[in-house]
Amino acid sequence: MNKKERFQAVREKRAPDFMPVWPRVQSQMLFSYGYRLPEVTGQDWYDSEKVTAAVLKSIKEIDYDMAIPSYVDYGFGVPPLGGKIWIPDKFGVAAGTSEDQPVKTKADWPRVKKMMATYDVKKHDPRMAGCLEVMKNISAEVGDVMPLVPMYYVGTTAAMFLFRPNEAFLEDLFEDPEWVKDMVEVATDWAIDWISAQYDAGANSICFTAETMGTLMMSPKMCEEFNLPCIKKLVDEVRKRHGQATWLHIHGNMQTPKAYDYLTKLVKEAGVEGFHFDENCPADWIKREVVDKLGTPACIITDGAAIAKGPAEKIDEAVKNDMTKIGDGLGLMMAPSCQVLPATSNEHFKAWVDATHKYGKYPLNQK
Amino acid sequence: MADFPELTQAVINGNAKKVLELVNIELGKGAIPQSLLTDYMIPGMLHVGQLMQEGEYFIPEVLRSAKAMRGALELLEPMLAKGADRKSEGYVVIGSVDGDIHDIGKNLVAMLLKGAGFEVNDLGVSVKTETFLDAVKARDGKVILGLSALITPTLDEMQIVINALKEAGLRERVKVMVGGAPVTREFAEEIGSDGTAEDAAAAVTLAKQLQLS
Repeated sequence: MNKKERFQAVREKRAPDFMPVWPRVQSQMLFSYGYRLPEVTGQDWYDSEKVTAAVLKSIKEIDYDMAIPSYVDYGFGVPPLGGKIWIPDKFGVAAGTSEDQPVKTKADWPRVKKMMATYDVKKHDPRMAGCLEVMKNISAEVGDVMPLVPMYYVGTTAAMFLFRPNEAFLEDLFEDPEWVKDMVEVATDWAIDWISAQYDAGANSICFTAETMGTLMMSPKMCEEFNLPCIKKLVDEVRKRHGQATWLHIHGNMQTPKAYDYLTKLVKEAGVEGFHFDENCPADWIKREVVDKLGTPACIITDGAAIAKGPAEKIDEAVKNDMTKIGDGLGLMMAPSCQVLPATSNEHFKAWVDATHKYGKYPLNQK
Repeated sequence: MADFPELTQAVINGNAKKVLELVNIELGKGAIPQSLLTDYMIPGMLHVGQLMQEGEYFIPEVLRSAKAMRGALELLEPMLAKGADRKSEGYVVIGSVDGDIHDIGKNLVAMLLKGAGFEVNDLGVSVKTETFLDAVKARDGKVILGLSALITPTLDEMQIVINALKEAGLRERVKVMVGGAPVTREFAEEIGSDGTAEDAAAAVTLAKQLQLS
């Protein structure tokens, strides 16, 4: 099987030859190549050659089963709206937003909303244009045998990253919910355009979107009110425009009844095809309650501390242990923890991927 | 649901207008400012912390209650300062470590600590080691130092601050609590801190334990 066929088997809950592995975020790839973020990007520039080289090297050396060149950068789109992004000089941290966001008070919103109406996601932000260049380069290099996935945030997460300082946005949720809905709608439309641009540049697989506030920062009720309609819109548009399904990264413990009810609605009402959770959801629960009960493929999260600390033998053991908890393992993919230390060496990631391929051979756990 | 006095319930509901209105009414009737804080508002914030631990409240709800509390505290603080018997649960210096500009988690902990009766000196974000040390030195007796980080590369700074406390001979009288999404119990032990907590509400419990230890 090639990597695309392997991922397709996961999506259809058929047995692949072995369990595929979701890649680590781009900033980790850059660091492992020897770059720090200020060497590859600024407020209004993006060195697509350097980023391409780092991503390709990481794919080849570590043997990830998927590539997501735009994952993860919280600052796309912000500088042209008047905000200033944070480009950390510490190793392996993604570009992020700061307090200096475009919408400091509600009085800024009409101006920013007007700018959003004419925002050309392919041209207005040189960082995004550079990222599209990377997508083109990676597409040309990996061809159609590897899933090349577009990525951006949705709903409240997209609105917060694009427009508002974090804490102010969390207060807006209570103090001005109608305004939040307006921001969320505008941000989601922009996100759909940005994802479309990534498809135009060469993405060839599912859409990957993320709602990182999830049930970690918001109640399931709020998620349902503010995010469910946006996620449905994004899923529908991506299917209509590009014929692709959507996987969702969501933070928080989804095991409580209210959170699980929201999860069910994400599948049944919004049409999400697959999930990438965080460390709050254990592998056996994901297999039982998400893959088998909801019929939805998902990623299991490995022990981030093991990958970060090593040595290779411990990582091998952690992955071997993961594999004993997931029954037949159908519909599952291995993913890294959100909390893996960026300074984690390539050797550790390689040991993790190799162990997944070794212990994740199908059929799994035959009695 | 437990039946709380109106002022306590208003804090729990995060109704800033109502909290302020009730505090003014009670003051007009001659209520003691310290009693309004200790007997009504702090129990409200403690219940908010409990609701967060139970998964009923999330960050926006806690922020709303903390904001309601803060509004009333601004009114009460000058009166409390005049009173000689202001009770304090302890003194906390808190900040996000050098290189980390994230502050939601740190602010939540600071607000819940204030709500629970601690004096809190919030140094803000990306705080240099020497600034933490200066703040500790400026206060005699036991100090709880809260170090926050959201992003993993700045975790190293926590170890640097703890080492600096030792070198300055301050470690004995300072209890260090560390927190933030990437902080695990193992990490907290490894760097020689005095503990970590799973969420902002649990951080208040930890601070109380550290104060008594």
